Amino acid sequence: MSGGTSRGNRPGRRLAWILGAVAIAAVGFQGSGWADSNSDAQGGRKGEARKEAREQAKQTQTDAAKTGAAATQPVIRIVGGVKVAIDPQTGHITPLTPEEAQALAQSLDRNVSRDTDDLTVVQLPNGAFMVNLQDTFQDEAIATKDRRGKVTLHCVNTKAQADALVAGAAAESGPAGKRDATKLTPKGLEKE
Amino acid sequence: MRRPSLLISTTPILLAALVFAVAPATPAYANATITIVNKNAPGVGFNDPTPVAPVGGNAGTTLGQQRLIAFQAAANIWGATLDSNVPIQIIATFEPLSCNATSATLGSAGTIFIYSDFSGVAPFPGAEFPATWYHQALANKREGAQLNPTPICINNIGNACTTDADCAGGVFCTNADLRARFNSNIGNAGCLTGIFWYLGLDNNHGNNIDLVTVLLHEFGHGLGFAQFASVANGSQINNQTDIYGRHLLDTTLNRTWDTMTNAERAASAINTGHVVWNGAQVISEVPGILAQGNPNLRVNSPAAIVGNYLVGTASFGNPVSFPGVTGNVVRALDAANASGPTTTDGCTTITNAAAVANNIALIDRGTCGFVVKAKNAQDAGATAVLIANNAAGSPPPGLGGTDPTITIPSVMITQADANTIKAQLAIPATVNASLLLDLTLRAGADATDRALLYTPNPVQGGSTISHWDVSAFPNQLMEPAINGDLTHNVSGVDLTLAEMRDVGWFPDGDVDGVANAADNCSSTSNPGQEDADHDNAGDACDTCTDTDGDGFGDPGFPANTCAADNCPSTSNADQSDVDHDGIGDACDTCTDTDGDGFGDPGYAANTCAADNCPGTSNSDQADNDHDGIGDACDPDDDNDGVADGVDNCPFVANANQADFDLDHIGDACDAHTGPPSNKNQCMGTNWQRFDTPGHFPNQGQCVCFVTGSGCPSINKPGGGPALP
Repeated sequence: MSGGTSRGNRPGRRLAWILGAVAIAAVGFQGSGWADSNSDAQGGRKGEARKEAREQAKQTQTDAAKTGAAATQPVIRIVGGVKVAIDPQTGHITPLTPEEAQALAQSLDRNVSRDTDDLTVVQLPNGAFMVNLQDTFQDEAIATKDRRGKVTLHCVNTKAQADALVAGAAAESGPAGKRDATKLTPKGLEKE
Repeated sequence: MRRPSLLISTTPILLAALVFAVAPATPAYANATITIVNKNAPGVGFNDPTPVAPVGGNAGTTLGQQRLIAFQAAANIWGATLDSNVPIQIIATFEPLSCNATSATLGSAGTIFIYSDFSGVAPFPGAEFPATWYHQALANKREGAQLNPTPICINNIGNACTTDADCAGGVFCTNADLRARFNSNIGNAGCLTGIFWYLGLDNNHGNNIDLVTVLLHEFGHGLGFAQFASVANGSQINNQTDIYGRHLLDTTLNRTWDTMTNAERAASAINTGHVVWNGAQVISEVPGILAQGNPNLRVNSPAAIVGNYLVGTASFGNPVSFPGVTGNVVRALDAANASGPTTTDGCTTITNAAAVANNIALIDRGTCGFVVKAKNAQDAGATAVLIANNAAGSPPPGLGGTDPTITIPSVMITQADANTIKAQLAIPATVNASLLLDLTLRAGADATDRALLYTPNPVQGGSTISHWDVSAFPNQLMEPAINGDLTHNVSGVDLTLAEMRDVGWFPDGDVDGVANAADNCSSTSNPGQEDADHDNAGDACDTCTDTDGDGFGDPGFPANTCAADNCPSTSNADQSDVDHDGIGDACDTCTDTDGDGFGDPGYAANTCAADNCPGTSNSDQADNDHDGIGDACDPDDDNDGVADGVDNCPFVANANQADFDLDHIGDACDAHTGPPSNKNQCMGTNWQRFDTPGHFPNQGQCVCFVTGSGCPSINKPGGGPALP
């Protein structure tokens, strides 16, 4: 089978770190504290990553205090195998860096993968055949915003489609236009 | 009837109460429980404690609550539409996903597992086709049970587990149906800044993104609106088709996807305008849902290129209408300058206005905005504008932009079609065309009213065949563009539910495994379809199970509301029951009005002995005169013609009623017919009152008048003792 990411390219360890980054970023974006983060029900590795991030954040604040520097640049730490930027003023994790965003994007690429190579068919005791799609074959909703601030929503199910939309958003292009009876929402129309 | 419910793994009970408060009542004929399984960690996502004000019917008081309520609301809409006796679970998280200022991943969803070749627990039908993949929720519904009751790690088929901690990579241990993850950062700085999720339930989203609508769409994919073949190379999982693909008909090959080679499928995926849905339910609903009229460029001449051509419509100018605009297609020319480097880009004033005037202008795409080109063509007198795409692909995209001064209609045509027209113009040949709303076509359907699937060529942003074509109108939930004018309906004005029916979500309001159309109790579970009276109304819901068809119900059927039949197996519309024993005469084996254990005559069902006195209890059935009439009711028990009431010997025939001794007991039955007890009794035959003084000791006594054997010796005259 072609397309998509092979199993060898997406080992569980890497995925764990990506998810860890996602979880960390979630906390950072929400501006909430770290309490209860270790009770994370999603798995020990993610909880460990958060704990590590918390320690790193505390350390960063301590370092800044010690030096008395008016630090404004994020401090880069390795947390759970993923680089994260910690705001020295607040100790909170800053929004995703491009690298982190890339890692996150890769995890989403997996969602829309149509690669069948790694999928295994098993027969159940009741005679039926089952395939665990392993978080692939999902459909993804994407929003793009044009220069006028109008948002268009799309649903894609391949990475190529997602890439085309994101690229098109930058160039203000989109999929085929729709008749708009109500004018409530802009459609994905080409601009030029 | 079950209502959609909520399983909250990490949220407070209060939230559960809130969600239940907004959960709509489940319609009587729909029943699937879809549960959102909150997998967010404390403090984030669905558990975000940020206080928020209620919005649009969403009563949650924290951001997390409102997110979860919106999720459950979308689940409830599907739950109120589909039927399944197997609860459906959606593993859900709200988390940061990739985004930037101009684009963002809103979220993703899909089925976690697929199944084939399941046989169904009777009467559930199992898979309709062998060797065909089904989404788990659909497969379970048709199986009538959870096909795989054992949780496994999402990322590893071989990794059995009991908790998420057993799974590597922080993924989930589950046998849930769908996975959904949505972006918690939407609206934050750098993530579609200022555009937020609308968490209200009333679709009043304004310029924000209606979460419920997006969820309805993505859940739809996970429930059955998706196929599993690669659109890039046509390959299938384990080389077997899926239930969606079985309904994808390529009208060029006139074959469905399940019958194609990989190469044919890949080609079909980009066979724009030639792949339709062949499912019966969708076909039946297209005329009632899709609007008549489809924007179209019809080339009238020359003969070599006569035909219909796809167009992408514009957001400016007058819409394409009927009968539209007809004229010659003329290339509009302008100066090649800084505004536009070619003479065919229409970016500046049209220089061949005389030729363009009253005709249809053909202008190349590029350099300047569409509204600029259209305005220049309009100023030159064009009646319509065709923009020739400068990139390969089909269908042609729409034209964006705003200019209220533009009134002529404008459309995009594909690069290939434009080249076809340009080739004719270069001959030169006159190309005459009509830009019109083709009323012979429905928007989003082919010429035979079959719904078109989205098959852009090449595969492009906006997804592919797992959506309706973008030409559909009114806008459909399962188009690749999730349009802002969508309602929260998945049926009625939308083809989505019809598609679900076609892939196997048969309506089964009582979720007993028998489709409503075939169910003799469509709203009462009766897997066995018992129907004792064969009236096609199952016993479980038949308000009058009446096997003998007399209008009265058989006992033992709780659904009966009609009067109980006193003869369930024998028709007796009169319900006659003369002996009032609760058993109708028609079936009473001993109709016995006097209750003596003997049956009344005239009742065919009687098997007990006939009563010789039906109206008089006479358990001894005595019949002195053996005339068949019991003594208890026989007016003449000795059958001597004298009624018992006056018969001095009612049980001894004595028609003469002789009563010598006048004791009112006939002689025939009187043990003591003589001697007379007093003189007044000397009136019988052979007796005579003889009261001559001196002959008998007692005057006035009776003596036998006749001598000989006819008189008792004791009373012979002249002898015997005196009578008392």
